[in-house]
Amino acid sequence: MKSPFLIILFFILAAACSSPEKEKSVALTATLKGPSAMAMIQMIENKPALGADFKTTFEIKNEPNQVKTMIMQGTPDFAVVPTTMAALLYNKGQEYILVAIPVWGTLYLFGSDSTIHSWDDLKGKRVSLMAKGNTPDVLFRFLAKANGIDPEKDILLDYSFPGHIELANAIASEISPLGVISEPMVSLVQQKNHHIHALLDLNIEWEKQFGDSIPFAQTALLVKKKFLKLHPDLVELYLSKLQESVNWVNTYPDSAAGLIKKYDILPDSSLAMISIPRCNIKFAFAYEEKEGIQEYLKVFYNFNPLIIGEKLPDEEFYYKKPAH
Amino acid sequence: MKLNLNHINKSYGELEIFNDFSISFIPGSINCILGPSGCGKTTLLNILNRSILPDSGDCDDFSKLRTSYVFQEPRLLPWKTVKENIEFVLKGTMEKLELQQRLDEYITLVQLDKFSDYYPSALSGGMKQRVSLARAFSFNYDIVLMDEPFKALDYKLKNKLIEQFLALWEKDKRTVIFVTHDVDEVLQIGQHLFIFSNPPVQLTEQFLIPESQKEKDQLRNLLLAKI
Amino acid sequence: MKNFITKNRLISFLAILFLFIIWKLVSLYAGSEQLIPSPEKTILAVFDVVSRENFWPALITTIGRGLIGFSISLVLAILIGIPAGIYTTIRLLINPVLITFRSTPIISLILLAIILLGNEMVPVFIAILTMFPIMCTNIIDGIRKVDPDLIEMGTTFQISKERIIREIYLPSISPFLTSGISNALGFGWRAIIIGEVIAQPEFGVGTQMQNAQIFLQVSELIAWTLIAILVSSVFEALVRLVEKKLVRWK
Repeated sequence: MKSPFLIILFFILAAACSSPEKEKSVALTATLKGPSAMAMIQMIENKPALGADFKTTFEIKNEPNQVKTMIMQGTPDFAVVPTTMAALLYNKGQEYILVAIPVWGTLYLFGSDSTIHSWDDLKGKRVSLMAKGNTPDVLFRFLAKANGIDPEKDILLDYSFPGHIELANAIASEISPLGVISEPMVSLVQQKNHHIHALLDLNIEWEKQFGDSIPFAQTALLVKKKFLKLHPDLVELYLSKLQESVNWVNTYPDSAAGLIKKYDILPDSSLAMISIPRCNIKFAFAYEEKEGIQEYLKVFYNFNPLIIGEKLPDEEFYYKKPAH
Repeated sequence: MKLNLNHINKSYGELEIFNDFSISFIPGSINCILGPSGCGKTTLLNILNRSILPDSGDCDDFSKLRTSYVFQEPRLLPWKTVKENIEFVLKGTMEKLELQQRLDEYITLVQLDKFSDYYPSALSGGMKQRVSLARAFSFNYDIVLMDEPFKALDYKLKNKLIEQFLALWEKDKRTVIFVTHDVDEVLQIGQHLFIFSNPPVQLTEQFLIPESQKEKDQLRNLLLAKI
Repeated sequence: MKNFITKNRLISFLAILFLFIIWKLVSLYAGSEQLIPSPEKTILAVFDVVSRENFWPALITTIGRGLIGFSISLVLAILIGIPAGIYTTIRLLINPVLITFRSTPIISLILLAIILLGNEMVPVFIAILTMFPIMCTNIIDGIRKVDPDLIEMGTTFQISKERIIREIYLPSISPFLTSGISNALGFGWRAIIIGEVIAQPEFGVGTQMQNAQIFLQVSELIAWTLIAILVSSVFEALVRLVEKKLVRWK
C-alpha cells in the first residue's frame, strides 16, 4: 500500500535535485584529455582561486561528447570543446559563448601504411575517423576533396572506432592501417608501435589551402553566459591565468611534462616533452581572432551546414573585449 | 481369416502382462473384452494393431490385416473440419470419387451432414466422438478395434452413440474387437464376450451373448456378481 | 461511417489524443524547442524528413535488411528447430547456443560484429542473431507440445510420415511459429536500428537518427523515431492478420 506513495516521493525528490540553479562558490571547468588539458595544466595543478568567492575545479573528459552532455545539462562554468561543436551548441540554444582559443591545428593522418605520401596514395585505402561529423572527420574529407579525391567514393571511410582510445589502439595494433587523430595520441601510438608514423600533417595541408588567411582554430574555450554576466571580472582573471599556463607550458615543457604525467594525460613525461611543441598550444582571445574563427566555421558550414547548426553564429557568440 | 493369438508373452520390466496367453476372436462379429481397468486390455489392442510387439508368441493373421481404431478420446485434428478429419485417414487409400461418396455416406450415417464444415472446437463431446466413429468405420479396414470409446459419456449420449455404432456396423458387418469395463455396453452391442483377469492376464471365461432380454438379464446378474 | 467508429476505436483514438496533449503540455513547460519540441513542430519535421531525397533509400534499405534478416532467420529456425524439437540430442546441443544469443546484450553483439564484419553487414547480422533464437525456440516448443495422441492416431491409421509432418506437426506448430515471428519482428526491427545507429552504414534509418543526434536536431530524431514505430506497427498488424487466418479453427 505504501509503495505508490514512495514512488511519488522519489520522483519529487529527483525533480528537486535536478533543478539547475544552485548557489555555488566553485567554478567548474570541463576540459578534454589532450592538448586542451595540456594547455591549462598549470591551472589544473594550482586550482587558482577566482577572487575571494570562487575556487576552481577541473574535470578532464576523454571525449568531446561527454563535455557536450555536461554543457547541455548546464553544469560547467567553463568548457572546452571543438570549435565546430561550440558553434553547433550555441546555434541550438545552449547558453555558452566562445571566450578563447587555446589549441590550434593538431590533427594528423597517421598509421602503419608507409606507402602514403600524397593524397592520391589514399585511393582505395581504408581510413578510420572516429565519428561522423566531428572535426577530424570533416577536416579530412574537406582536405581530400580539395586535393581532388572524392572521400565517399575513392576512400573507404571507417567509423568503427568512435573514441580516441579505441582508434589509437586500433592503429597501434594495426587492425586499421590509417587514421586521423590529434596529438598527443600520435606520439603516444608511435611509442607503442614503431611502425606507426604521422603521414600527413593536416595543419600544413590546411595552410596549403588557405595560407594564413584562415587559422585552424581547432579547440574552443567556452564560458557559461550566466556566469559571465554575473562575474565578468572573474572571467577576465580566469583568462589571464590560462594565458599564464599556456606561456608556462611552452617555456618550461619539462616541468609541464611532469604535471601532464601526474594528471594522467600522458603515460610518461618524456613523451609529453616531445609532444608539447607539436600540440600547437597558443592563446588567443575570441575577440582577437573573431574574423578568422568565423572564416574557419564558414569552411565547415560550406561543407555541410548541419555541422555547425545550419547557420553561422551571430555576434553574441564571441566574447567581447572588456570595456576598461 | 484366422483371428487367434497363440502363446503370447508380454512383460514391462517386472510386470508380466501376458504369460502364455491365447485367444480366438470370431471373425465378422462384435467381440467384446470385459475386464477391470488396467488389466492389459489396451496392451492387447496395441498388440493387435501391431503398434507394440509381443515378447514372444504368434499373432496369426493379425500381422496382415488392416486395423481401424476408435480411441477413448475423439482425437480429432483441431485444424481440420469434420469432413477433412475423416478424409484425413481415407486419402491415398481410394479413388477421389469413391472417397467423396464414402465421406458423404458415413457423415450422413452419424447424422452430422449439416456439420460437415464445422471445426471440432464448435462441436460437443458427443458429436466429436461420432466423427471419430465415422472416421474409423469409413476406413478400409478388416478389423475395428475400439478402446472403451463410450467411457466418458453420459447415459443418454451413450445410447445414441451405440445406436450410431450399430448402424455403422450393420453396413458391412466386419470384425469388431471392443474393449470395455462396462457390463451394460457389452450386453447392448456384443455378440461374443471374453472376460479378462488381472495381469498376468488370463482368459477366465468366454460367453456367447444371448438374444433374448430375459437371458441377457440373467447373464447380467451373473457378470455383475463376478466383477 | 457508423461502423467505422466503434467503441474500441474511439477509446484508442482518445488515448492517442491524450498522449499528444500531455506532450504539448510538457513541451510548453520545458520552454525550449531544443529540449522537447512541440508536437506540431515534430509533425512538421516528419513531413520534412519524408520529403527529403535520402528518406526512401534509408527507409527501404532498413526495411530490406529487416526482411532479409527475417527470411534467413526463419529458414534457419525451421531447419534447426524442427529436428531439435524431435530429437532430444540435437535440442540439448542447440539449447546453450540459443540461450546465449537470447541473453547477450544487443550492444555487445553489435560491438563485436563491427570489428568482425564491418559497418554494412552489422545490422543484418544483428537482426539474425536476435530473430533466429526467438523463432527457433518457438518452433522447438511447438514441436514438443504436439499432442502425442494425435500422432498416435496418425500412425494407427498408417498415415505416411510425410503427411504426419505436414498435416499434424506443422499445423500444430503454427500458433507457436506465428507468435515467434511476431516477437522476432519486434525485437529484430529494434535491433537493426540500434545496429545502424552504431555501425553507421551508408543508408539506414539508424544512420539518419544518429546524424540527427550529432547535429542536435531533436525534432528530426523524434520524427525518425515515429516513422520507425509506424513501420513496426504495420508489420505487427500484418502478422496478426496472417495469424488470424491460420488459427481460424480455434
